[in-house]
Amino acid sequence: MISTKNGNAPLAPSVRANRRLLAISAVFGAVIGVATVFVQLPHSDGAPTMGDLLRAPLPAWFAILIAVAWGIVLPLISWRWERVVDEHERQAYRDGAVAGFYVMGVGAPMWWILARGGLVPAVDAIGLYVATMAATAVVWLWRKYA
Amino acid sequence: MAEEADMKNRLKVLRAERNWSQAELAGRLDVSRQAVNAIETGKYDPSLPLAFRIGRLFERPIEEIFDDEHHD
Repeated sequence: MISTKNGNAPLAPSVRANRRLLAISAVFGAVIGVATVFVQLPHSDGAPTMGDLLRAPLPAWFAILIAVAWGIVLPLISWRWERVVDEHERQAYRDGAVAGFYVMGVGAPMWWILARGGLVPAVDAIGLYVATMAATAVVWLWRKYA
Repeated sequence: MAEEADMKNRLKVLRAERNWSQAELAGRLDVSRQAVNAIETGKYDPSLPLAFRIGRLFERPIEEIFDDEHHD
């Protein structure tokens, strides 16, 4: 029988670098999430709800800090990640990115037109962002593992 | 535009001859185990650089490992 399990084989350097960068991204996202909760605590009655976290106003200094961190750190991690991952993972990610592009490219105009026709609520940027990222992640994982 | 031909390969057989797991082969090629599995099952065609690495690892020309089933 041909073994397909990991066994004791050491991970390839590209796989280790991939996991390291994904872990850094996860920690970065968690820090932003926790920081947002703490910044909003004084402005909420009790613990902030998910709606508060996504849509409630933020202090200007905090908004600038997070926007700059997001705009600099995330592209740097993404750039590095694209350089270290193996070609199969890179292709899976790009397939996911194309799926995300279509969700945004098709979904946003549809929603916008329907909203102008009074048929649906106004376009929600965060809703579109979440849908785009979800489509990207689903296709990325499907192409990598299926 | 021409449709892509199905690519067959002997990677699984060559790996079995050496009694390597997918993970071991992945480590030698510096790719993930999922990449090796995708190539073996024909879901992913490797780039030329990776195909050459595979050829060098198994000490065979690429066309002995990969076959696009296009024979004149």
